[in-house]
Amino acid sequence: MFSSSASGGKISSSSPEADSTAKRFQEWLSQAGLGETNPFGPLNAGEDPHLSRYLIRHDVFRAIWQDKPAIVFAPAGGGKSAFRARLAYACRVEEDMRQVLAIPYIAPTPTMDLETHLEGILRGAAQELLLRLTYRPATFTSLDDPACAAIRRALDQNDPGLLEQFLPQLEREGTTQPLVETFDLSAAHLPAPAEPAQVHALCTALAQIPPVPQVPPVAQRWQDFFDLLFATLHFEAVYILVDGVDAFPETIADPDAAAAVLFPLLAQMPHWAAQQVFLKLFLPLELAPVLPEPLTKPAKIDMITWTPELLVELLHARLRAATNGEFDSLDAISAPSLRNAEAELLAGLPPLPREVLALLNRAIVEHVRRVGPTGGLEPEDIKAARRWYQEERPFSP
Amino acid sequence: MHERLPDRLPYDPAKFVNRQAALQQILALVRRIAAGLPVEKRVLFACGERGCGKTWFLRHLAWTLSEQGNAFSLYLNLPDEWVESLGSIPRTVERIAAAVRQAGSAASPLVLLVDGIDDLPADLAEQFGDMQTLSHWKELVAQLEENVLAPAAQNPRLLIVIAEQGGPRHWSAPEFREKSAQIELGPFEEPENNAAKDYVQEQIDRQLPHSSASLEEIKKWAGGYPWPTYLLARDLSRGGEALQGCALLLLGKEHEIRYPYLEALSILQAFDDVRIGELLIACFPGQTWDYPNCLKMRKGLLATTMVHWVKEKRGYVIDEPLRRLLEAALHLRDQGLWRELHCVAYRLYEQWAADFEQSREDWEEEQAYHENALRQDGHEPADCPPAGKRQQKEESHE
Repeated sequence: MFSSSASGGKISSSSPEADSTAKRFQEWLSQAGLGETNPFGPLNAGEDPHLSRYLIRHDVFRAIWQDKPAIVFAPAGGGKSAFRARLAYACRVEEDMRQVLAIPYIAPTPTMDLETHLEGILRGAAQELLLRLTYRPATFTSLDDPACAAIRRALDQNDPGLLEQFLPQLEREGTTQPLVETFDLSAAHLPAPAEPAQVHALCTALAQIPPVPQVPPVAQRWQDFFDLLFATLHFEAVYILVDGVDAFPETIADPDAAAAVLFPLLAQMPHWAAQQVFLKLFLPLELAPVLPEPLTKPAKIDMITWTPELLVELLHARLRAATNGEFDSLDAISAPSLRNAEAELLAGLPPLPREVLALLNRAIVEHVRRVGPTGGLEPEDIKAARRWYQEERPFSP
Repeated sequence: MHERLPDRLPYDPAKFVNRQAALQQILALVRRIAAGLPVEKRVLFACGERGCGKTWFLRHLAWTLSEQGNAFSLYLNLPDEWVESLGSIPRTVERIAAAVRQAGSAASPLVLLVDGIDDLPADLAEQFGDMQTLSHWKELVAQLEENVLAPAAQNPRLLIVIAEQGGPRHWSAPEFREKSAQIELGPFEEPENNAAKDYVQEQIDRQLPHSSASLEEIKKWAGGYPWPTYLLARDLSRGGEALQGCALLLLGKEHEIRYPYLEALSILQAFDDVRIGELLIACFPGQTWDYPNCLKMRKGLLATTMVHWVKEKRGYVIDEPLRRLLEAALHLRDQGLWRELHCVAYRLYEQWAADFEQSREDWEEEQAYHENALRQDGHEPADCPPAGKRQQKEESHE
């Protein structure tokens, strides 16, 4: 959780000095009125349980919150995972009263085989369905017996062991927390969660249905699962949220290899769209020129760019959330010697959320090392952070 | 006759003036919703300082909607709902949820009018202290957002109008935030020419037609804010102490203890923990103004809900209607102290402008503000004692 320094910003807690800095960092946040959780971290949106509280860029969200295939291109650190998390959130809370199931899909291996992708998507679908049912148990408990049995079958067949592993935990916790911690931290803090008694009732009902050990071929399971979603659970659409294709050693520096992973999915895009199943791809900018146009043509394409003004808005949104609206500017945590710290931070920095957050975290580290967990940020803290940035992140975009 | 008049004039449509632009903006949205057309921004924050007439605006909106008959409106005052629910957060939320469910089941669109979300119940503040009350109140508003307002905002047939003191607070749910827009309810402006309406005059004519107070003085001290205008039109003829009385009413009796500190800080355009210490040590030299105490003071001032962070001013500010009255009352009561405080600020900013290169421009602007205030009152800023001498004086006080 505590993020700030090199390459994504963790202060290693392997030495007493680092431990002490981390402790003083936390004390400084607290005395500055920023609470117990660092509002400028983690740098990876997928690991941020508070993301929904300070997301911005309503324009991008509106563009992808539609029944159309979509591709969002953004540079590394440019917010791909944040938009993926925002879309998943909208589906989970049934925003605009829409019934959409989001299936977050991060390919488990850099595969080019459609069946392997389908297996992965179905596994993600089973996990998401269990999360949705735990968040809104009434969806399940209001169904008739054959429908309940179909759900049990879909969960067992597509992620064998899922219920065996999680039903006892869900029963014990009475919340979605065990699923959130394992599958998607951005699903923490969904509004108006179910009462624990409702979660217990769901667990009891699911446990009473006999498990289904047989696993039919993937094509059959795909058909059955989507029949269940549309005909029995009355979803109006399914969004498959594809992220992280550039995260494997094989693909991280090779856009062609990463693009090849996507080809089987892109080939299915028009066919799936006709069945109300929409691919939503969150891809690194480097992939834009290597994806063949005929394959991407059915999708709405958005390129995410950031301006200094938007990055200031991002910092302010985080401050507003951390202080419950008490203040929303770095001026409130700066000494009289520093005004408009936002502009000082952004000067000469690549206009990307991850970079500005990394530099701000470092400025706080420099401050607590220099004067301890007290007082406001000063120009020398930002200068020192900038020196660190030039040494530690010279290859940042 | 004055003694019988209330501190808050009960809403009366015949006594309502101005706000036509804001009203028409909302009514146009209601018409779109009633016609089945999509409206993306269905959450409207009617923002303004305490005393700018938010409650009357919501009441008048409800009255106008009932006159027009194309939408159903539900007016909710949060402190009243809280009292009706015996001070229980879950009961308050459930009570409001039930009212919204019932009102929302009608065929015509629903306009939900939420008032008082910044008005901490006075008896609660007296019982538990304003800081604890504020945290309790924030929890109530958060629960209300999560369980009632955010889900209601997803209904395309429902419009929500929320009165917000200052700017909008932080609303957690993105699906609520992103459907929102802001409507500013500022002070009534001076007419630009003879043909333009003088709304302050019109307000007094409608609400207190027999007031003998000077219109010019009312405008000067109330700054065009409707509630102070009403109070001053009612009381100003009785003498200058009306300013302090009016300021106390705006602040609320339960926060009376903070009055002297707010009065001292009222000479500043904006402040923070550092400036709180610098100013208050001049007024209250017997008290310790180290960093923890300044922080505590700032938290206490925020708990009055009359102090807000204003990004454009790069600091905390007192709500403008209250600040104007506080400074005017201070000037009337103790002109020497008023001058001394402006001098403290003048010298402080002079020092900061000299010491801090990066922020020099900002501090020079602040210094110029106090220089101007002193000159307008007939004082020569150069006569202000230097910062060092002031400190010696403060030490000798102690």
